[in-house]
Amino acid sequence: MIDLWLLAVRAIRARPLRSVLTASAVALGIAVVLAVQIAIQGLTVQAGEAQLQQAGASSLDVRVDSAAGLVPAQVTTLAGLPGVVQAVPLYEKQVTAGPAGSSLQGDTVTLVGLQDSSAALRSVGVVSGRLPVPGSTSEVAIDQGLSTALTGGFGTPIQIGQKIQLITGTGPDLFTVVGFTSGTSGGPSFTRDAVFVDNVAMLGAFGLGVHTPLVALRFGPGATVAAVSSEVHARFGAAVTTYDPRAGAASPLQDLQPLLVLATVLSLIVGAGVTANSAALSAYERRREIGLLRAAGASARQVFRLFAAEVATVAAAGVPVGIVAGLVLGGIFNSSLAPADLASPSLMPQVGQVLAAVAAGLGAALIGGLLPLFAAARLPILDALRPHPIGEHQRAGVLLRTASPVLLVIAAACFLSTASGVVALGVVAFLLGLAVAMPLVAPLVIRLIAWAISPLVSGAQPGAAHLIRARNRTAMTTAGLAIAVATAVGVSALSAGALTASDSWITHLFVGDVLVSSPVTQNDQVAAQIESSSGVARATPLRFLSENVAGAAEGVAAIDPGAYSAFGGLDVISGDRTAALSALENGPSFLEPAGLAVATGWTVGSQLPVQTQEGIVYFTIAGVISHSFPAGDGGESLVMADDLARTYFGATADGFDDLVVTTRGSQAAIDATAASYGMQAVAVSVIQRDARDALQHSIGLVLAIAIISVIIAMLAVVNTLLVNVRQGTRELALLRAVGLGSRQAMRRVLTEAGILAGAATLIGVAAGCLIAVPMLQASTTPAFVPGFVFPVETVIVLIVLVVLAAVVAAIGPARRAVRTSVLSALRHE
Amino acid sequence: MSRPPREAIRDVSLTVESGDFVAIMGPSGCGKSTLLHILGGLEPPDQGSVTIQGIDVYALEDEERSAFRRDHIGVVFQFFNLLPTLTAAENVALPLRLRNEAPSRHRQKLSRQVIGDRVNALMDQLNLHGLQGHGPEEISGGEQQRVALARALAASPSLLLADEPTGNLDWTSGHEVMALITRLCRQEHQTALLVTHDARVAAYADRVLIMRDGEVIDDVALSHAGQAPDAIPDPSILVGRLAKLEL
Repeated sequence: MIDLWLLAVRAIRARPLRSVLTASAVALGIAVVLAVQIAIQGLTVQAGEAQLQQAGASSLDVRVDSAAGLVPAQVTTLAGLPGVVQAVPLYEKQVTAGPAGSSLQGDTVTLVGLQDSSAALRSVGVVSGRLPVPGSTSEVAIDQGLSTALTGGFGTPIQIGQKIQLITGTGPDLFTVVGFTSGTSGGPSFTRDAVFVDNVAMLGAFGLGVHTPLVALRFGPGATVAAVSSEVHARFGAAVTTYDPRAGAASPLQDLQPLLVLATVLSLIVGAGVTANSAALSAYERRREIGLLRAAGASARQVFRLFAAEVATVAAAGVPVGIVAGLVLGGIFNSSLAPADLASPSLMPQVGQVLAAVAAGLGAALIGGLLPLFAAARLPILDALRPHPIGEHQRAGVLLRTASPVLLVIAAACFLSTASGVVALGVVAFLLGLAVAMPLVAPLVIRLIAWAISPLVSGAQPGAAHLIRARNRTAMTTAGLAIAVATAVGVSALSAGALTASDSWITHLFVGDVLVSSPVTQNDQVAAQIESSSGVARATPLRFLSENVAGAAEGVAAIDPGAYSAFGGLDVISGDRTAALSALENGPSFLEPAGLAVATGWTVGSQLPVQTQEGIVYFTIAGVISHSFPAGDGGESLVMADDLARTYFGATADGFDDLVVTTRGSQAAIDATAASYGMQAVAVSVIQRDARDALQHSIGLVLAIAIISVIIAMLAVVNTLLVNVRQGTRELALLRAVGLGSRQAMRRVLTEAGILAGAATLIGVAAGCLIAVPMLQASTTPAFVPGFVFPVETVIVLIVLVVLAAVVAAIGPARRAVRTSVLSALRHE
Repeated sequence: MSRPPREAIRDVSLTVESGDFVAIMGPSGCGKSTLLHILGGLEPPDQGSVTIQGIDVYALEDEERSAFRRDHIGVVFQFFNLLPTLTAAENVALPLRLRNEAPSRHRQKLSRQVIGDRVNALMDQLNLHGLQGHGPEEISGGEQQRVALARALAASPSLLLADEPTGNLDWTSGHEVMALITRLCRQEHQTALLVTHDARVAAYADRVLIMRDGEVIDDVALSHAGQAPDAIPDPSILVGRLAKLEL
């Protein structure tokens, strides 16, 4: 075996550039697989840790949506359940707050009780200062945003040590602000406008009207969520809901995973194509060597083993580079995708992940590389011994011609599905079918390009003819590049469709150009003051509530239907828009977001019992809208008229949380006013841009993999161009001997490179557009309907870069070929 | 459009005794190279058989035929005979290394020492001393052919086949190669078959088969009694015969 390795190593050293290109392709394949695993693992672990942080010491949350929440006796019962060592209620109350010395009027804030400096077993983030000491009845810590909001637009923001006024059971009382908080890690039960007091104060001065929406249970050893939940429901029935705060930490890349896996698989296929291309070129260039070995008594198996040893050696050389590159790439993915407020995700992959990446990258390379070697080793000896058949036209294999339609039919069948996994499989089948059909497709496109550019470029036709003559080699090269380009174009089209859908979502939500957000619910006078500011044409208030709808807490957004009716907004997809908005204004009715409609089954006309201050009132679903405003639970809220909200829910529905402002051209006019109330004015276009950025950020990962695939495929293009130029040296010399100038010869080689890359890119663009359609269909949900958008920028960039890279890569070898003396080139076999 | 298959040789029946030095000659396209390739197990005939030392070569499976070729047949081609990535010595050692790659029950694996000694002995015998470490591109055409000859003889084959071995060489280098083959045949009873279109080269052989249009049309015995192996033979008898045959 040692002699085989000697031969293999010698052959590798004889073609160092090809070996480097092939090893690079293997390394990039391994790097992509490893980096994707690192990113998925890192971000999932990070999300899990965030979830654990959010859960605090709570093992199970017990919630109730009734008005007063859980009563003390129920809390005691919960504390006595088997396996429970602590039951900590969350005490909440809405109170009016303002600076010291203000009147009874003020802003409504949420008061949250602390037990042992934590809220329902969750820690509270302290930005500066401290939390009230346990047992204190005079200290508060407030969310940072309240420092400005509570001043009501007058005076300097509240500082630590200053007093604020809160309405207690005995009237307005003063409390010392001892710290600013960043809220709790508690999730939807908690608010962004909290004032934290110790439970002694909460149950004392604020005791009247305290609400207990949640009790956090801490388990002892051996207790399980299932067992305790079962006990809770056995005692309280359906009146309470239980929720495991540590569960459901979905991976941030979960939605992207099918796309990520698809892009990774395609990059491996492209990598395998590079190795196949390299092995095929190596076998082609060394046909005579194969013949000599066979004539000297080497069996087909021995020849195969020799070439396989070469492929394996080169591929193995790419492994350490691939692992290092994978770690670097994984780090880049993690740093660009991980939320900045969480600890950096780990970069250290597990041994199994590294092995899986190496196995995938190396396996793809070996499969790709060994296939052409099977054929090479079985080459008839005398065929192999013949001089290079330069003028011989290569034919497309029968197996390949029949495999293509089969793969395309499989792809078409997969595209009928909307399951993303099946569609991804269809994409792979389609691209493989295209790759297999490339010996037939590529010559057509090459001829077309040559015909189109021949009036401008003189060497186009001969260059195209040269490429078509080496049909199989050209096909193998274009196939890899076309797959990579198709992936990039497909992902870009998907991204463009999603961005358009996202823009449309935001445009339909806000009937104005600036959104003013408040950390506390502001009163109507503030809205009136902003509306009367110079530079403001109109201001539409938004109020976000949480109400008991059909027995469960649902987010409800109160809007002005008149404004939405007059100025557009809210995309009604089921029911008549005018009638729906009119019904919203006139009766107890909701507009329902499409996502909620799918989740609940509520349709237009459904009657929903809603707990109001007048008792149960039945609201009608007047229409289904594509999207609504965000609700506190991460979903979308029901929409109702703000007037009716006040009627049915009383003073809690007064005022506004956000204000949609239509300016007369400049946002500057309301910035100062908004800031004086502790509010923030953000242009709707900025919200759109942020949403686009967030979306592009995620899909950017898939696009990055697709671009790496393009780079991998370009390695094969360079490889092929080197062989084409080397093989064409004699032909060029013959032409130069009969009068072809050096510059003409050079132009001809470069034109050939450009046509090869251009053909692959064009085929890839067309294929990318085709695969984008089923990918978009698979991404469509009732709430998210992305349409096909041709990714013009990506296509232009790809065409320019790929063609330019191919031409640049061909310059060196072309120059060498042209500089070779005619006589020595003619001696070249 | 497919073309009808061309009949390269037909009705050729030939027996070569052990130790014979036979030349096959004829004009271009007469089928002499095809005959050599068929005899060497390189190209199966449509009909007929080739038996070497009692073994029907084409009755063997591909793997077995490769092993048979490696152990019993040495081949020298006209040009580009050497593997470019190997040195002269490594080229010569190739058949022995290939044999080591697939040792059989009948043959033991050869040690590096044994292979090295065999290669050095062969290279000394063929006047290639000192060229062991040189690559093919570093030595002359004549030396390349002698290295190829050494490689063909490395596994001590029963049959040496040479296809226009001097076709790419000048006369002096060609004579050196032919003198070596002649000495091997006469002194070491090596069986050799040579294809050439040159009567001066064919004249080194003891027997010359003349082919035309795929058939052997004449079988000429040549006598070299009293001639040293490195003497230049007189081709006049052959030239006369060719003239008579209008070749």
